[in-house]
Amino acid sequence: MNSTSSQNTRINLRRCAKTFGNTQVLKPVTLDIQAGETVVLLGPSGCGKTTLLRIISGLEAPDHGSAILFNDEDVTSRPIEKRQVGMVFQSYALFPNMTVRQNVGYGLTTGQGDERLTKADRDTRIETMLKMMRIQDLADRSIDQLSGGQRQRVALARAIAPRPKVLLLDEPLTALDATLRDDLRMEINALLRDLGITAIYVTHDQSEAMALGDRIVVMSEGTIEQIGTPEEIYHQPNNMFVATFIGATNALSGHWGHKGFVPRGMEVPVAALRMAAQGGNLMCFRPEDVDLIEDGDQASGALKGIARTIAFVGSCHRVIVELPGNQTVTLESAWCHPPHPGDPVLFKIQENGVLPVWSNEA
Amino acid sequence: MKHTSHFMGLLLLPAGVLVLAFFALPMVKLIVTGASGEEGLAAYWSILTVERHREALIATLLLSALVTLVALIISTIVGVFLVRNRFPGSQILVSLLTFPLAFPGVVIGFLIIMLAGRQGLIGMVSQTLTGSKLVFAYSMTGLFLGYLYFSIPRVILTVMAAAEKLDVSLEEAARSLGASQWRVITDVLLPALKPGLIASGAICFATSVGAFGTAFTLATNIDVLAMTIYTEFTLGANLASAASLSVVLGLITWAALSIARSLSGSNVAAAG
Ligand SMILES: Nc1ncnc2c1ncn2[C@@H]1O[C@H](COP(=O)(O)OP(=O)(O)OP(=O)(O)O)[C@@H](O)[C@H]1O
Ligand SMILES: [Mg+2]
Repeated sequence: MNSTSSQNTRINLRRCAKTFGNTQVLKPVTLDIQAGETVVLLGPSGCGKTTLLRIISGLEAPDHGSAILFNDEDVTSRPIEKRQVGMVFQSYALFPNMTVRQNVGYGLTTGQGDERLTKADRDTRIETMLKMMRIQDLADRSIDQLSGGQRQRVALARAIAPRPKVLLLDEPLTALDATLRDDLRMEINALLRDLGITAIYVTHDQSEAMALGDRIVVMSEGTIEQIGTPEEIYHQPNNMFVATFIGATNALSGHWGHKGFVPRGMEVPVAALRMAAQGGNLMCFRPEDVDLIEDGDQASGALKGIARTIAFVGSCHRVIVELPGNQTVTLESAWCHPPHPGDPVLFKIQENGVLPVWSNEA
Repeated sequence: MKHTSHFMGLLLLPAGVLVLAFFALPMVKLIVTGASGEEGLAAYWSILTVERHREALIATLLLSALVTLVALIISTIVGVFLVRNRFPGSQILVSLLTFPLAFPGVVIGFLIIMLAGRQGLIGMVSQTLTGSKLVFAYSMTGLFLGYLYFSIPRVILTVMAAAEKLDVSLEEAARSLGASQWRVITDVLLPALKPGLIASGAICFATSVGAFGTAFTLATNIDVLAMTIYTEFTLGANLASAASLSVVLGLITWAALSIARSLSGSNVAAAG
C-alpha cells in the first residue's frame, strides 16, 4: 500500500518513568520499537500499560530524565497534537456531534499532518478509509446509530486517516463481546500488516497479545518482565511471573539432584539435568509438553498419578492428575482412551518441555 | 376497563376545575383587562406604538440578552475550570459563587448598591485613587451587574454538572488528531455543553426579562418592562395598559423557555 511512506517510524524509549504523587507507577523503561512493528504491552490490571502508552502519545509527561524518540527525533516535550499519533480507545471516544464521515475526516481538518490536503484529497482519503474499514454504508449515520463493533471500526478509520507516525491502541476490543472481538482482532491484525504502520497495542488478554504482536512486552508492577516474540515469551519465559501469566503452567515442587529434578514424594529424577535452567525447588512445564505412556510399559523418568478431573476441550482432553506428595498437575493431550476419574495416568515430561525458570518458593 | 376510565374521569374532574380556577381564569381576566381600556385591543399594540413602552421593551430585551451572553461566557469558563482543577478552597469557592442563587431581587439590589452605590466600595476606592467617585448602581449598568450576579450561579451549576459528565477521552482523541486547544473547545467541549447552556441561558434570559425586585431597589427611573408595568399600574393607575404589558412580558418569557425546550430537548423552567 502506498499510504505507508510516512508511517515507518522507529520509536525508542529511553528510561521512561512516571511518578504520580509519591508513587513511581512506571519504573524507568527502555524499549526499542522497529519501524512497522506491532508491539503489544501485556500485563495485569494496574501494571502501567496505559501509563506507558499515554507517555508515548504525549498525553502524559514522563518523569525528568526520560526521552522518547520518533525516528531519532526527540519528541519528549512535544504535545500530543503535534506528535502525529493515532489513538484508539476502549470507549471508542467518537465525537457524538458528528457523523461517521465527519469523525473519520476530523484529523484531516486540523492542519497538523505532514501534508497539505485539498478538499478533494480529503474526500478521497475519507472514502478510502470508509472502504478499508467496510463502513461506507454507515458514512452519514450519527454515532448513536452504530453498534459497538461498528463504532470501533469508525474509531480505527479516524485514527489512521491522517497517516499517523504510530498507532496506539488501548484495549480496543475489551468492550466488545467475544465473537465480535475475534473478528475485529483478525481484521486489525490484517490492517496493521497491510499498512505496515508502527503500532503499540495494550491488552491484558494473552491470546490477543499472542495473535497480534510481532513482539510482546510483558509488564508487571511498572516494570518490564520480558520482551520477546510470542514464541519466545511462551517457550522461554524469563521468570516465574511470565511463565504463569502467559499460558497455563505446571509448577512441581521438589529438588534438583545431580541427575535431575526429583519431585516431592518421589525417588527418581523425572527431568534430566541438561533440559532445565535448574535451580531452586520448582520445575515448570506446560500442560501440553508431556508424552503419555498408555501401553503401560514403565519407562524410566515417568511420572505416575491418579486422574481426578477430565474435561474434553475440543482438540484434546484436559486431565488433572494427582501425583504422590500431594501435588497436582494439568495435562493436555490427545488420549486414545481418556482416563476416568481414579484411573492411573503415566506420563513423561518432554525433553525440551521444562521451562527455564526457577523459584525458591514452594 | 370502561369502569376504570369512568372512575378516572371522575377523579380528573376536580383537578380540571382546579386548574381552570387557579391558572386559566386569572390569565383570561388579565388578557380581558388588557383590552378594556379606551383603545380596546389596540392596547396590545401600545408596546410598539407608544415610544416609552417600545423603548422599555427594547431595553429589556437588550439587557437580558447581554446578561445571558455574559453569564454564559463567564460561567462556562469558570465552571469548566472548577471541574477540571481541584485546589484547596475550590469547594468553598463553588459554594460562594452559587450563594446568590437563594437571594431575592431586593437583596441583590442592595448588594449592588453596596458595591457601586453612593456609599459603595467601588466609589470609595475610585475616590482615593482618582479623586472622583465612581457610582453606577442606579442605572442600567447597575441592573446589568445585578442580573449577572444572580444569573451566573444558575449557569455555573448547570455547566459544572455537564462538565463532570464530559468524556475526557473525546478531548484526548481530538488532540491526538491534531486539534488545537481552540478546536477542542469548539468541536468537543461546547457541543457537549450545548444542551445545558441553551437550557440555563433560556432561564437566565426569561428571569432577566421578568425580574422586578432588583430594578425596584436600585432606582424607579430605570426603564425596563417590569418597571414600566409597575409605574403604569401604581402611578398612572392605567390598569389596561399594565395588564396588556404584563401579557406581552409573559409571552416573551414563555417563548424563550419553549424555544429552549425544543432546542435542548430537556425540561426548562423559569424561576425568580
Ligand atoms: N492520573 C493518575 N493519578 C494517579 N495514579 C494513577 C493515574 N493514572 C494511573 N495511575 C496509577 O498508575 C498505575 C498504573 O495505571 P495504568 O492505568 O497505567 O494501568 P494499566 O496497566 O493500564 O491497567 P488496566 O489494565 O486496568 O487498564 C495504577 O496503580 C493506577 O492507579
Ligand atoms: Mg489501562
